[in-house]
Amino acid sequence: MDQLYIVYVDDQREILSTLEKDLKLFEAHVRLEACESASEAMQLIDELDRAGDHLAVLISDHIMPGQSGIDFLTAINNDGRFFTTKKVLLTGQATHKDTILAINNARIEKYIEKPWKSKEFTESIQQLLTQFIVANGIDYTAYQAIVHQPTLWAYLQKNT
Amino acid sequence: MPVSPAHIDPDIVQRLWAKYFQPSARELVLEKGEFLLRQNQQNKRLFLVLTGEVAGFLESESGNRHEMFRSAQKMFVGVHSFFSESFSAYADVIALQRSTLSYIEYDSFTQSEQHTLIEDFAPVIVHELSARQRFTQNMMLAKESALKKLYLTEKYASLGQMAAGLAHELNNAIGVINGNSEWIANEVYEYFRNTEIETIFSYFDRGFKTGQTLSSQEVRQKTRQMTERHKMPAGAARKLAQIDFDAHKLSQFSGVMDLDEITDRMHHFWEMGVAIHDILLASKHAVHVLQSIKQLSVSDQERSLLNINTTLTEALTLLRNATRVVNVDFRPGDLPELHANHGELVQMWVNIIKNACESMSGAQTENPTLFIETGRKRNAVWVKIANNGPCIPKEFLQQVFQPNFTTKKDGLSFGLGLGLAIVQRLVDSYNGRIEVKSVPGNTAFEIRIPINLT
Amino acid sequence: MRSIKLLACIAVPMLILFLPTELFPVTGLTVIEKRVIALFVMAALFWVLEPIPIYATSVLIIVLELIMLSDNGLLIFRNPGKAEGFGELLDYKAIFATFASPIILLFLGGFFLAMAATKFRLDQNLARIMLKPFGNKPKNVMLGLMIITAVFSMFMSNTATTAMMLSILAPVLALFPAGDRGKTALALSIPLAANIGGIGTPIGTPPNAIALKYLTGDQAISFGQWMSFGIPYVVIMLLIGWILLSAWYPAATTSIRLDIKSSFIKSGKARIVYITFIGTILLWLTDFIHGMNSYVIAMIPVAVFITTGIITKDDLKKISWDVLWLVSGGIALGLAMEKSGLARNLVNSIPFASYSPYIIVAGSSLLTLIMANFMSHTATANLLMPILAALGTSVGNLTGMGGVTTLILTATMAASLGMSLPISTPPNALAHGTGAVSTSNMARVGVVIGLVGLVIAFLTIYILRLVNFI
Repeated sequence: MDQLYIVYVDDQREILSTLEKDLKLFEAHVRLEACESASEAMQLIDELDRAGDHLAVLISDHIMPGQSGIDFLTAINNDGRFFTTKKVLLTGQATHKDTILAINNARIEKYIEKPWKSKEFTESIQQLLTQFIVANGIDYTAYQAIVHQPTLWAYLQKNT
Repeated sequence: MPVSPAHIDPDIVQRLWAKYFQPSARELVLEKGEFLLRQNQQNKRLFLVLTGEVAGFLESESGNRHEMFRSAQKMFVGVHSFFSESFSAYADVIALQRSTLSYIEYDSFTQSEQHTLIEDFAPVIVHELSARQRFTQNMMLAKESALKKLYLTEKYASLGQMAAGLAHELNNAIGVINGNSEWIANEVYEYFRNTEIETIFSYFDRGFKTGQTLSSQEVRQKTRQMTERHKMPAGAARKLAQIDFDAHKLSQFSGVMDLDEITDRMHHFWEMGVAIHDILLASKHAVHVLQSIKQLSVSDQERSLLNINTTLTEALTLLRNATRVVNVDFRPGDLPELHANHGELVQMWVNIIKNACESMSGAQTENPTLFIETGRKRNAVWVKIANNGPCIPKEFLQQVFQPNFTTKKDGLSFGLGLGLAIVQRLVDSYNGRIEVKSVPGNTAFEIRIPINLT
Repeated sequence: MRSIKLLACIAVPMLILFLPTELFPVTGLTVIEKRVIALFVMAALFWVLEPIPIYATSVLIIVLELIMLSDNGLLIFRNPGKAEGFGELLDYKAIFATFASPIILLFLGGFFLAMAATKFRLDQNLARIMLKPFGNKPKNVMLGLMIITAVFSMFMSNTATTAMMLSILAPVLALFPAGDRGKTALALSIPLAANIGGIGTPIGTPPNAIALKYLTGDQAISFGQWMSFGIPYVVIMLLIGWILLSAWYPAATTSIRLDIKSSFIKSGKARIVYITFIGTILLWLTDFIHGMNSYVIAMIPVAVFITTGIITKDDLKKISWDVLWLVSGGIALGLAMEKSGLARNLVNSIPFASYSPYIIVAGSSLLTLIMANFMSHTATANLLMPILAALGTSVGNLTGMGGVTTLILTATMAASLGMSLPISTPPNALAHGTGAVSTSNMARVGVVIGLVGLVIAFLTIYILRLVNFI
């Protein structure tokens, strides 16, 4: 219950294990789950939602067998259960048109280009995670070690 | 420039011949290559070709000869100089083969006769005018298509050059990465083997040798098992699941060491092994891609004896990324060696296979499969590349080999429309044939290349 | 881990509930009093171990009191057998009233002021103007930041003030070269000033409000009176803190520039906010002229901001009800202990009278300080204030030292001085999160400030006694 999740989807295992290393920082506080396809991810987040957990950040590649990343993120965006989930597109191959779709339809919060810089990536995720935490009224003190400080300050300044 | 001579109504020719040419019946015979008229020469004759063929050539300033017209049997020559009353030939007229011509002289007619002459010959004059115009039009069209071809060749050549440049730039960098990563991997491997205890090292070894073998789904399943059966915290269970830890060994550790600590350590070493494994794999792949690009952009047409099956395998590795999501059913037959250019063949296969993969993934074909088969039939080697994706619409079947034909207008797979055109060109250069057949669920390209027995 | 905590928090009070009253070392313990003990122990365990958020504990206290101690509670808890030594049931209306006690509403007024000020960027603008005279030298800038932080935290929550000041400071911190200790000083100065600044006014921090609750009748202190000793105390402590930080963590960088991008909003609503803000403070300081007490005055900004639409329906939802209810729970706990007579009984059963009054004052504030370092300041005050209030009124030899007032005020200051760990207060945690302050840095400064602060607090009370204020 009330466990926060970061789910990342990519059809290449090497990418997943690299992502996992970059997300290690969150390991102690947030559940990290890797998925190799959009359908696998959908099944997982269905389960976690039923268990009363929160999908805080969803990171997806675009070019994958089966459902594409943008289609998947669009589906999540239109799914009321994941209204506040922060969506990240992580890709090296999206065209101009894809990018427009990702912003307009999937309403992604972040577009990260492959190859990514570890530090920038982690900071982006930290920021999104913090936004999710404060936007959903989750007690931030439990996540103090991993939150993005300026984001938290901006929230606290207006809300205490 | 093959411009077919346009024929005027034979009845008119017959009538004119009977009225003007037959009575005087002056004829002349030209051997092949003989001049009938020279440019700017005075000419007061109107010729009718009885047999053979003559053609008019204009010499341009640069000294090149351009064919201006061609007159075959029952066609007139000298219409311009005769009726325009300039009485001067504007082109060289040469017999293309042994020809017989009949002619009339302008001066042999009286003034009033000349008038009826013009009236009678009006259809011929008009026809001649329009024929000339059509001729130049055709010339222009032909020129345009030639230019287009030239442009495409240049486009392709510059792509090749770019690829070659890129390959050159990356060559050293990737060489250093590849060499050193192999070296450091071995050093690290040896170091850990000597310093770490067996249990820990075995996980490094496994990661190093096989990489991540479990799918994310399997990891989740195992994690669940661990948490449920062995009452473990989720974090530790996930780590043990990732390294594919045998749960039966759990009892071995109980009491001996802090389980959390040893879990972290095993996982950490496994992770390092996997990381090195991935690095080596990625650098090998980069080297391979680079080699292939270099081979593709090799401009020399040097041919050597090679086996087509090898070139197919190479094309498949080059396209590892695209073929990752499809089943590949490759059935190489027993083939004789062929005198061919390695790069050209690989490029042919790459172009066809890539199209196949893209059409299957574009249509989200269920259970996408690529069938590749090779074999020998009499004096030819055949290669069949088929897929179970959507079919090519009938109206496109004729066009797929044309340059600039593409269905990939958007998305990642934007195309230049050159792929199959290049294939066609290459197949032609081997005196081979390419055929495409397409029904829903089966689109097949079949290429035959004759075995050069000399 | 969490479930073990939760189990302990529930099991221990249950055990107390089922023990016969005779086993307690308090003579004439009634059943009601025993229940209050169980409730108190439960509250203490919940607030220390925090298996649930601290404000949730407060709500739990109130609801359990309504069910187990009130005259409208569950029938079996209402002495159905008319047994001897049952004790008096509490008036359920009094328990409910803790939700809207004047102190809670005083705080609500403070929240409205702070929220309107933030909404119209009064805080940013004031910070910009106030920081100007302090120039560019790190040491001076730090003093400026501390003063601004302290002033703001007198009216805004310490956490919000810290968050705001840290976001102003963060770009500068990022520019500091690695290894420059001045960074630590700057980052640490903010929570220090925020925690201390809270002591300055009754609405500065919740423990002050709880203190006011127990200073009634002759001991009542007005807003202005509180500030008359609160402000000098804050000034002295800020100076000590500033000297300490600049001596221990001198900056190698010679110049820093804080860039606050903001300008005064000149709309009609903004003007209303400025005027109301100043007006309310003036009214608080001049109660002897107009006769309205600070609680009544606190409702004026509430009315002004609501009627003018400065605070909207949506803003209302952002009010920190958790802080208000946390205090309510404390008041309810105090109410139960006082009305049941338990506080007095407890105090009487320990021979405090034989102790030196100095030891009682020093011991109680030291205990408060220690507890405040490890748990919420407000929860500390919630637990200790009712006992201290009883102690002050029932131990005779304390009257010579100022009785209840002395005990309560020293403990209140001590509660705000608990700041030696990242977990001590939210401002500390935020500063620790910047990465510029290590736990040992914080502990070093926090312990010294805590102990020095206690001494200064004793001195302050001593001087107040001299001028016959208490």
